[in-house]
Amino acid sequence: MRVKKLPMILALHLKRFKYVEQYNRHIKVSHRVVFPLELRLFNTSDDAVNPDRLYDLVAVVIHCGSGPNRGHYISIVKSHGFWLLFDDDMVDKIDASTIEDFYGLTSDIQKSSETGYILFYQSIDCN
Amino acid sequence: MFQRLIDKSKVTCIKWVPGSNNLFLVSHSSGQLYLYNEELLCGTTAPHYQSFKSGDGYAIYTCKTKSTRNPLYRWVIGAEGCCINEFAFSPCGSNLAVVSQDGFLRVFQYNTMELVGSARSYFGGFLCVCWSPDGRYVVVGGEDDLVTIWSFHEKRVVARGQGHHSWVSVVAFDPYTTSYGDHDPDFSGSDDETLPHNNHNHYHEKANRLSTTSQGIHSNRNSCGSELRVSGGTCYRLGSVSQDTQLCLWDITEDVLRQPMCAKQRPSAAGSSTLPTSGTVNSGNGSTTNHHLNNSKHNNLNNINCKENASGNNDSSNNSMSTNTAVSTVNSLTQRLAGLGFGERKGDNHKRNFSLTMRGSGASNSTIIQNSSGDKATTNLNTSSNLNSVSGSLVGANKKVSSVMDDPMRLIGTAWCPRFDECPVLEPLVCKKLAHERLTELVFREDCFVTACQDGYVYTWARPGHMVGPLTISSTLHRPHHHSNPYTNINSLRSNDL
Repeated sequence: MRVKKLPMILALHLKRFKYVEQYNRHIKVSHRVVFPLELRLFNTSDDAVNPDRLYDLVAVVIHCGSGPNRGHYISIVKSHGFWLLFDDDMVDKIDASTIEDFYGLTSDIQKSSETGYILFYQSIDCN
Repeated sequence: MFQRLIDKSKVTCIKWVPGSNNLFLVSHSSGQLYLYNEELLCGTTAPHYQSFKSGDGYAIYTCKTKSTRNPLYRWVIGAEGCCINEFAFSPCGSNLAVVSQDGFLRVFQYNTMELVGSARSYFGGFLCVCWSPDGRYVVVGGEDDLVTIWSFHEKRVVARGQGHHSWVSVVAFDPYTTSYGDHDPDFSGSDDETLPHNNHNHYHEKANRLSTTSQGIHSNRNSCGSELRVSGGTCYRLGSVSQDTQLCLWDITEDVLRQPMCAKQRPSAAGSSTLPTSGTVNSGNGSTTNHHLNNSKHNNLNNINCKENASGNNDSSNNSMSTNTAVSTVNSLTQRLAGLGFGERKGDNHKRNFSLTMRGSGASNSTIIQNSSGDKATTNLNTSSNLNSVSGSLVGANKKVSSVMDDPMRLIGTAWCPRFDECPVLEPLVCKKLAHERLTELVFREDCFVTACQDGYVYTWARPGHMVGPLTISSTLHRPHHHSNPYTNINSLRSNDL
């Protein structure tokens, strides 16, 4: 897949669930998926207008829990240069280095995880 | 222990200062680098600092005390709180390369504390750094999944390696498999014999194969490859490990590193980006090839190389690197691009042989300039001044270099960060999954190399010539996991459960 027109806001949805025939149901995929604070696209088409467009990570929706049908959502949002964690009515300022806590798990063991689910990258030329 | 008063953040790298018995350097995730003397005390109070020296993107402090105490110096590199991920001294010990989370490689003359060069990642932080054994190149790996090769002498990014599928955690040259050419133009053909394990041949075969289906970079690389036999030259062996659990080995021939910009007609960033074997992807892009040939003073540098290359090569008549060929290529490019409706601009260099119309992006809209005069102005100073003139003429704003450094969009397309399609993209010679967890260390030794993994395993891998013998055979049976597939040339010798 190649991208022809690079969007101002790039929303990436990680498919963190899959159907397992053995269980006859969906399970959550908690694999570790690292996502950088900055992004450029490699898969641009030859006639893309701005293939070098640089994106900043500005928000992440995070799913907490062990399965796809239950759990809790939190989000982290970059605001005025600071990362804020929104958890219901609680808002905390967090360090950017703690974002790695949301990359996912490295073992296949099914346990509760807090994993990045939807990533929002914003083109830096729209600031 | 004594450092708690000095910096509470995580230590990311520690190294002895070359040539010293008691000095060592420590980097922290806070973005600070401290020089300690192991024979000195640290004091019982937090140090007070006074400014000692500062430059573009860094500042150096000393302790403000009557008697000398640790730390001797504090370097603050990049923006505040920007993690220093690794640093490395050049083999000669006089230069220090530092990579940090802001995506910058900064190279300092260590004794004078002057910044002598820098580079910017394609995106994301730079995580690891190493020097070529001869000190000519610095290689960095980072969150752009790329291996980036930076020329110390030319002060520019000369190539990128694409093959990993996650962040690159360690880069290391293999000094035992690196062969040094004598740069003799008449060194025809015989260099292959000096290359161990015939891996070099393999590389050429691959390049040739790809070039049959591609009019893109691969054919250029092919010409490079064939030229290598003629001109000889150094072939570096680089290894890298990544969070993708893979080891990649790269053969980097100096001819590729000196490949001029003007010979580059890569179709697009996408062309060879997705897979190492993308020759077929590139084919069919011939008609759009020229769109991305690039601009900026980077071309200028490359074209100078081009000249150097041509003059140092007796067999350049059918070589895309020859200046004449380059000129005609560029001229036709100009026409083609003009026909496509890209705005044309004249180059504003002092000696221009031709100007090029280029696709620009964002702020830096189209241009340039070629300069294939005999002027071998490849110094950093020259780079900077060219950048100024280019950006000034393009945007009409007289920005200084420092402001360019602050703005990643202004760095793209420069010697600090070439566009993806204006810089040779290398493919790994070997790419092999070594573990089930992310790899964290890679060390080359004379008879083996060693990898470490996040799960606590350290593997020792025998070199091809060293795998025969009873020890190897018996110990390979004890390897955990699924390493039994002989890994091309390299087999696991033994593993230690930590």
